[in-house]
Amino acid sequence: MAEIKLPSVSTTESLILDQLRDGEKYGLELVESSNGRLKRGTIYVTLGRMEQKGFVTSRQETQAPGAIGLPRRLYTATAYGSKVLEAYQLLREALALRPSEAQG
Amino acid sequence: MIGRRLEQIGRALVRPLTFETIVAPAIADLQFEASGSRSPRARGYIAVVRALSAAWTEEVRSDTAGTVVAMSLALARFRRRTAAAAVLAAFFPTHVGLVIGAFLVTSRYPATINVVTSVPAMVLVTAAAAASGFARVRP
Repeated sequence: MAEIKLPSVSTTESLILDQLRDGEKYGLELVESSNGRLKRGTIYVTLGRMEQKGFVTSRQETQAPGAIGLPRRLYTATAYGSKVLEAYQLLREALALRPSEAQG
Repeated sequence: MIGRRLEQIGRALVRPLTFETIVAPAIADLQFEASGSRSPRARGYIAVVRALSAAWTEEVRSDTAGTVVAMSLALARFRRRTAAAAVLAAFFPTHVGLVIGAFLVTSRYPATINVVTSVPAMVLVTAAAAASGFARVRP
């Protein structure tokens, strides 16, 4: 029987996917709306990893003519990312049950 | 412009794709803060530095060719005495390896002659490291 490789989701990744349910956001926005649960020092690395995993997709914002500085990057959860989050939350709920509750 | 120097360092250290996906967003958010009424905070700079170091580490892990060159140059310069250092170089940042290589090229020994003999040995060392799971070889 072929072994199925399940996607791994860290707590931070699930937090980010949860935040992206409201639509696309900047990295800084994600940090600010997380009430301190997401750290600015690691958010960009985590987002980069999530993009590699296919959980999120990103695009550069359209800059106004004459704008200086680098364009900011907007992140959106992919359908796959949303599905993984849903499964992850179901798993958490299931594992939160005590053995006695699970039997009933 | 705030972050311009960090941008230059980032572009020099990592590949364009890695820069665009990991380092540039951190710098862009820092610049956004600075351009508005908000002044950039230390956390913004720390975020850029952490993004840069993580991107750099990732580059190193995936760039075996650069490491082989650096190891070859290291062996060419110090020969057997640095065999251990050369093996360690397989796990060190590629760009650090290139800096070492640049130093070796300018040293007083004819490094280029010795590279010819040490490259096959280094290829074997790297292949062994990859086979044992110590180093990742990019397909």
